[in-house]
Amino acid sequence: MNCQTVQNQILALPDPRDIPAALQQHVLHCAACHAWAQQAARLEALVAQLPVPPAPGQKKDALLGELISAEPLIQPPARLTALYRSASDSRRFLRRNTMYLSGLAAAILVAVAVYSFTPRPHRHQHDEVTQAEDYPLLRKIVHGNTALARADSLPRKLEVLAQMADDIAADTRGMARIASGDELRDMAGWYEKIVKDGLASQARELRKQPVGIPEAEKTRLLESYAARLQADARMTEQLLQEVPPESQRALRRLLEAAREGEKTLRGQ
Amino acid sequence: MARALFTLLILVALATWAAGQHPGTAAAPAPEDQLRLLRANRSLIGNLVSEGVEMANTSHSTAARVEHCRRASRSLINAILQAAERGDAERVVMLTNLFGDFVRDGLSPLLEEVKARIDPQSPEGERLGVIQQQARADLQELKLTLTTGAVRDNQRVQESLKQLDELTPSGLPRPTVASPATN
Repeated sequence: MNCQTVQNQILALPDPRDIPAALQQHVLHCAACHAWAQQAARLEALVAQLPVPPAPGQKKDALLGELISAEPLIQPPARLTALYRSASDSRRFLRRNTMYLSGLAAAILVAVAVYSFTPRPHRHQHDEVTQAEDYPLLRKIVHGNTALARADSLPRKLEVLAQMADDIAADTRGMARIASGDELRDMAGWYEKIVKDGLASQARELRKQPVGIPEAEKTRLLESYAARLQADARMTEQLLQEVPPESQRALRRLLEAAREGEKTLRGQ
Repeated sequence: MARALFTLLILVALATWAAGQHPGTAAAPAPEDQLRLLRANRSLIGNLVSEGVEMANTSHSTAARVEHCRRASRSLINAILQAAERGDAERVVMLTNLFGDFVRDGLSPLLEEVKARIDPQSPEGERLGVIQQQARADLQELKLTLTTGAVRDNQRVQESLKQLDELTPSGLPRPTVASPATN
């Protein structure tokens, strides 16, 4: 074993301070190799004392990425990791800016309080009406009448009447389990009046109107309102078996009016 | 400590903000309230439905349509007068607001439109003059009841009255025909 071979083997050792017995024999008797071994041992000791630089920010993620790409058996909770990092950043941000954020929150609080307690002169009186007397169906019917007063075309009249019929039908179904037979009969009567005397009558007028609206548009309009009446009939029919007999009579009246109206609107 | 204070501040701010909100539209009443309201408004809705259908069945810009429109407004007034007689200020306010909307957005513009289209000397024009006089008398009767009746001291009724004041003279201009008919 010559000196070059021994020195190369010393360099290849994991720790040159720990010379194996096979090399010890030569190193102890060769001054050059002994000096080489001492230098290698000293170098190893110095390297161990060198400060370790911090890893780059993305190094851990990159390393995890490499591991994942090798399809490990257990996948890391990536979203949790991101959330944890985000939460950690947020905490750090909040900790650093507590005073500013508290000030901002207090300012928002004061602004909101001032806004809330400032009287608004343009507030509409309707907002102040207590819910105790506000009956949505009445409000809808009054608004329907307002619209009918100004309705200057058959399509507009049809639209308003169809909406009023829908509102009454929905309310009648809603009251079917609690209102008396008489009350429901009245509601069904309102529906019947709007459908028979209003919608159907306007539909006939629309068909007779020779100019203004193309035939295809007339058909499309009437079909859309017929479909709404059909839906009213279907929903009412579904409810029939679930209500008391006296309510059933009123609902049947509404059902018949819806079916008749549907036929008229479809020109059947 | 700082975090707790911060969270508390945010919660208080949110609560104050939420309390400052007022709903644009009222939520649906509870079933028992719906039943009570149906009973209270049954006759009024029946009248409004009838007049609404009649309005739909009359030609636009005719005295006949104004007549049905005025009858609808009269139904509302009758309901207000009944509520005022009972001292039911809440109902008076609710109905007066609806009446105000109806006159401002329905009856008044319709009246103006029809008036502009027909000859005041024609039979149709004279009929319109009578209807206009009736509408004006209706409004005067309502205002008189709200200023002298059982609900006159209610603050919100007084606010509703101010809304009615805005309807005259622009909403319902002085009639050209001096007829004392009221209903």
